[in-house]
Amino acid sequence: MNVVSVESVTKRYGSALAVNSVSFSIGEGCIFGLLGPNGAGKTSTIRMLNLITLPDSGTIELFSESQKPEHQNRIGYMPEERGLYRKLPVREQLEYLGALRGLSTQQLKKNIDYWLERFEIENWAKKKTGELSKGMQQKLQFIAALLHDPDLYILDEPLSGLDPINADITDEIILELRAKGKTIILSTHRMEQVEQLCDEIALMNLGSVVIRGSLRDVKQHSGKKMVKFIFDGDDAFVSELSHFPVRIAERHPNELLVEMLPSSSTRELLQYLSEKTNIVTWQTIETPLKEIFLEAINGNPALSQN
Amino acid sequence: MNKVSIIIRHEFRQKIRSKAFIIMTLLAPALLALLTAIPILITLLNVNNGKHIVVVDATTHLSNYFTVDSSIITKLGKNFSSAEKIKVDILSSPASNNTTLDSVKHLLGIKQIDGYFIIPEQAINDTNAVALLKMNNTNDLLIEDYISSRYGDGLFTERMRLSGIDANVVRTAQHAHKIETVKVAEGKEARDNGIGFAAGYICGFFIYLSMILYGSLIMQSVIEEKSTRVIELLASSVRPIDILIGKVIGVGAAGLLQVMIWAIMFALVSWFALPAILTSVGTGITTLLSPVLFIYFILYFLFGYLIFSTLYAAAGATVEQASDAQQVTLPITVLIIIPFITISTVIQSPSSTLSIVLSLIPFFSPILMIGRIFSETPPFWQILLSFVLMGATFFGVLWFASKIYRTGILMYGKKFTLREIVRWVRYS
Repeated sequence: MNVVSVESVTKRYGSALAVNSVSFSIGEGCIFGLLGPNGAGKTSTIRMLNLITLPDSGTIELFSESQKPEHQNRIGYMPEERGLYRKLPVREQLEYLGALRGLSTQQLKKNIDYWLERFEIENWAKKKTGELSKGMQQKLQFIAALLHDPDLYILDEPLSGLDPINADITDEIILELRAKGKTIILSTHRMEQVEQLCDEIALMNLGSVVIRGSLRDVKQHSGKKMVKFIFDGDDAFVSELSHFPVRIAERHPNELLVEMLPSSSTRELLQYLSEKTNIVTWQTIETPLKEIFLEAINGNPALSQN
Repeated sequence: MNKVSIIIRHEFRQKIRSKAFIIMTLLAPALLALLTAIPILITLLNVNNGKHIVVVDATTHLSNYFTVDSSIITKLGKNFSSAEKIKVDILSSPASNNTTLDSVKHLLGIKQIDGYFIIPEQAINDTNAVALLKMNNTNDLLIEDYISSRYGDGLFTERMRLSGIDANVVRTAQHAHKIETVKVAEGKEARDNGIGFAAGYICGFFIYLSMILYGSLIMQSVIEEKSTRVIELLASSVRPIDILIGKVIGVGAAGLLQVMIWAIMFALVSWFALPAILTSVGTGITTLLSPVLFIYFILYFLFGYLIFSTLYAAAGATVEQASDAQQVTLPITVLIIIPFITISTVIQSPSSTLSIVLSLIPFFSPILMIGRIFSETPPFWQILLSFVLMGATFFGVLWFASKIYRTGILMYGKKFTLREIVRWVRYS
């Protein structure tokens, strides 16, 4: 069963084309990465999925039905621009937002208790939201999306502002939800999170979906041969690599990622590098998502002008 | 519908629990009571230091006219209680008697008395004779008025008597005209005393204030939800028009509660403390306390609130900070200020064509029609028509505002001109 099914959806704001004939579908129990640079049309798409705005043309189906207001109770939303009432105490905040998602008072109390405890902020329940640290407000925002036990989660940059421990808790909960058969749309710029969590992805650019498919397929389809070196010492040699048939994809102080072009040989490159520097370790790797995306986006002439 | 009621309850609870609301509710009547009490307090304080005047009457004929008589003071239009303590001592002695003058001067110098009044010997015969009033405080108009009126009355009577005319006959002839102003309302007659005018003006002013106050309250709450971005979460749970309606009704219920509390306080005060005032201003005020007028007042208050708070909510949705709101609220403010400027004209001639037309314009009705109702009850069909027009206007405004609101709450990052905002209505 498709939980989300978007068919040729277009949305304009005045003369600006925000979403241009976008189509994708998401199955049950899937973590779907909705990716793309700023201004690609992700937020506009997410707003339409949430019934905040309506498409100008095209159709959106949720839970195999045409979109309708009742669906809002089955969606948990964590917007990219975080927003909570600053003066409202934590518990009242959750009570109000939960009630608006159709939760009964009893159920609300139970769920709020559970999630406050899970995120270890139960002692803050009576504090005003504005008095909480940014990280805690972030947790609160996440709880607001989880509270009513929805079937579809739309999480926009769920990790921003979280320390590594809480980021791990968030990832853990996302995987837990998938195990329960829930569907999650994850919009993020953190490619490592996408690689770890997502089953399917769609990359948007300038309002259109540029790449779409399962993470596996997308990666295999790229068919590039990449080699990653970790070295110790001076990196001046990197600029001399230009006579090799390789392309430098990423360059860090002690790390180098190169794409081997068809005529290049790994052995020759290794030999050359071992003379110039002290190689700690090296490996051939799958093309990182970031690499695939940059290529897809920069291949677009309109964007490369910027 | 259920979600609207959740929003109504939330907004209502937030408002009535806010410190500003509680302080306003309790402080406003206290302030009003204080304003009423201050003149009374001042009068009471005045009574304590009574005035002492010495009249030196060189003619020896005018002494009788200076005895303190409360009815004369009342006739002068002064508050009797403050005059109670005027004490007048009369010395019938020729002005040439320097000892008398010196001792009176001395008494004034050591503030034993508050003033003295010297009537020259020729005062009755010589119309050019000048009497002299010397006082510590020449601002005390009561004493001056009293002395002047008594002196004038005495001279008049004595001069008449010298000419062989009975002064009382002349007085009666002079005073034989009286006019009573009677207000006719719903077939009942009531003495007016200008109370209808004042009450109409006060009620109109109150509605004017509450529309601006509650309107900006709603606008701020809309701006807050937008600037904190919590609106994104709300809009993903509820239809924007439901948020708008919930807000308007929730805050409105809090406002109504506030007005009801004030009304009850007012009723209690009038029950226990007003009988004294009632007798002094007459039946006019009982007309004002009639339940029918109160219901009209509440209805116009509600319609005015509904129409304008909805407009203010839409205005709030177009800006991100309260400081940017001025430009968009200007047209709304103008709609509130016009009736406020014209209200006194309308109340003074409530049945003129201009008054009827102005008070039927639905944006002006809440202020002008209530003013008319208090000053001269208009025909019932006009009242009914104003309700029909206001009802229709409210739905029109709601339709218009919901379109602006729906688009505005999601727009960030720039200031919108009125022209752009009007375009939202056309294209959404």
